[in-house]
Amino acid sequence: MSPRGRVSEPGRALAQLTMPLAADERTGTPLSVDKVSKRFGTEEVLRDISFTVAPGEFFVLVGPSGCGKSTLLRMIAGIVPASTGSLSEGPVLIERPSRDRGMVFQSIETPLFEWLTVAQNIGFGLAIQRISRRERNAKVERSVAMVGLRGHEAKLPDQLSGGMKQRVQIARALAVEPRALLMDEPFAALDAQTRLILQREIVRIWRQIHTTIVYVTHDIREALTLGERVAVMTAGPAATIRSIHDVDLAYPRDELSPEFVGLFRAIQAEIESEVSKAW
Amino acid sequence: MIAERLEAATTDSAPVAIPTRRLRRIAWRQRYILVSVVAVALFLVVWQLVATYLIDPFFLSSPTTVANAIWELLRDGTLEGDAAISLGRILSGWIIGSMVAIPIGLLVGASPLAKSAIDPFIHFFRFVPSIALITLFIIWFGVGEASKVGLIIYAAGFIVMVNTSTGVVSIPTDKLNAARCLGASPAQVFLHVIVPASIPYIFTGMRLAMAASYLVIIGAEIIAANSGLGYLVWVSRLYFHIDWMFAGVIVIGAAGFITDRLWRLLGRTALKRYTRSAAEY
Repeated sequence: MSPRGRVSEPGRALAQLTMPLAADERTGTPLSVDKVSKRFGTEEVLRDISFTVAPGEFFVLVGPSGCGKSTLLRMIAGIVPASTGSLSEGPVLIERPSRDRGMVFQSIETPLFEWLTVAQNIGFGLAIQRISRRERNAKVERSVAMVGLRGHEAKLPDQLSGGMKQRVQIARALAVEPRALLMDEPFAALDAQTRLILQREIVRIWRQIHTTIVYVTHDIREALTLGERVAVMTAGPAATIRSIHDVDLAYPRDELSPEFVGLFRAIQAEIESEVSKAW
Repeated sequence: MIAERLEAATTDSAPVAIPTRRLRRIAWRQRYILVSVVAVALFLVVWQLVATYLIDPFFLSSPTTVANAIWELLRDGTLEGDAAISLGRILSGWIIGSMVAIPIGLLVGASPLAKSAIDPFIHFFRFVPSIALITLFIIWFGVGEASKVGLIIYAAGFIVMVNTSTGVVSIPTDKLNAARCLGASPAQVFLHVIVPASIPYIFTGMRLAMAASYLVIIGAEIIAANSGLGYLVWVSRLYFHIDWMFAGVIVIGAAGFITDRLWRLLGRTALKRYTRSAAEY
């Protein structure tokens, strides 16, 4: 087993919140998508997609709704097999889900285990590995602290707000120390205020643990707030990657800066032309 | 951070807000119980009036006559005896039937292979009324307990099975995928996600199966038994003891009502985490 992503020593990451990460600080894993196509029956959803996500990179996939970006993410997770082409994590071919690639789902209600407490949900991935109780508790506590759920450990998911539930999902995925975190529009179902808070939180968490993140969204502003690179997808069917933009801006991103606005307009124009083409 | 602030807000307001709300809820619950009590009392009064003034007591006993009959049958011990015997048959058949049906239902819901192999039998036999098989069961298992309990296993089993399978297939795929992405093996997904997530459906299936068990046992006891509530109703009919028939019928209904309430209570307390809203009705 190769080394897993580690939570950094206290202080180091927090002190450098606004600095770009150096290459040696990135402990995530590279993900590569190589000439991947996906057909459901006779319908081709995705065609010939190739890109690589660098270790520890925050990579965002943005595209018109229904273009297949969630399907692409599920293929990276190993939940859905590719029809042709291959996906790999480092040197390893992705064939099935693995705890190396944590997943955060869009749905607020369905992914949590509602019969387990917050702490038990977060510890699920550790419990099934038969890790000692002491170590498990320590890791759960660390995840709870990281997502700001202290004091809610004994609650059941039904007692939490939507934003809190997504925090549980994130903590649960991080508790097993994955090398990549895959997020499928995790905040799309939340109110605007909560979404804003959690966007800031996810950047903070990413900078704290340096894991690779692939984030799917249809919201251009969210993509530019979060990503180091933003890939724009074409409208389906047979969607593919249209362009990849480097977002070379410091965190936290200033939505009103000319660079941000410029990128926003460029991506918006691309997506608009895709949507009109689809019509 | 917002999470801490939210937490602070709830703990601040807790001592004031929760007790009043709880009090109000208790008050409402009492009002609803009162409505039920009044409805039942009203029904008894109307029944009493109808039985006294409108209908020949040969056909319809009044509540007071039935109460007398119940008292009479309780005093000589027949009613408790018969009720205990019927209840024993119902509970053992219901429990054994569920124990057999739940694993099969889980398997059919979770495995396409098991589904293809077992499904035709489930959906054939669950339409064959257990009443139609009473004679067959008596020939196979004799007139003793085995044929009656076996009949309840049959009647309860298919209901629990179908509900369990339905529970498994209605688990959202996100939940299964979440477990797989956390490193759960297929066996772990089955044990730690599919089983607990199906409990609301298993719970409801067993509740429906309980009612079916009552229906079957009475039928079986009418045809071949010398004890039990069904036997009591049947024998009373032979002697035109309409009041005893009513006594038997009322005890059957009351026993069903009580077992159902106890099952629901279990769902609302010990199994609350799992049943969620399934035990609310």
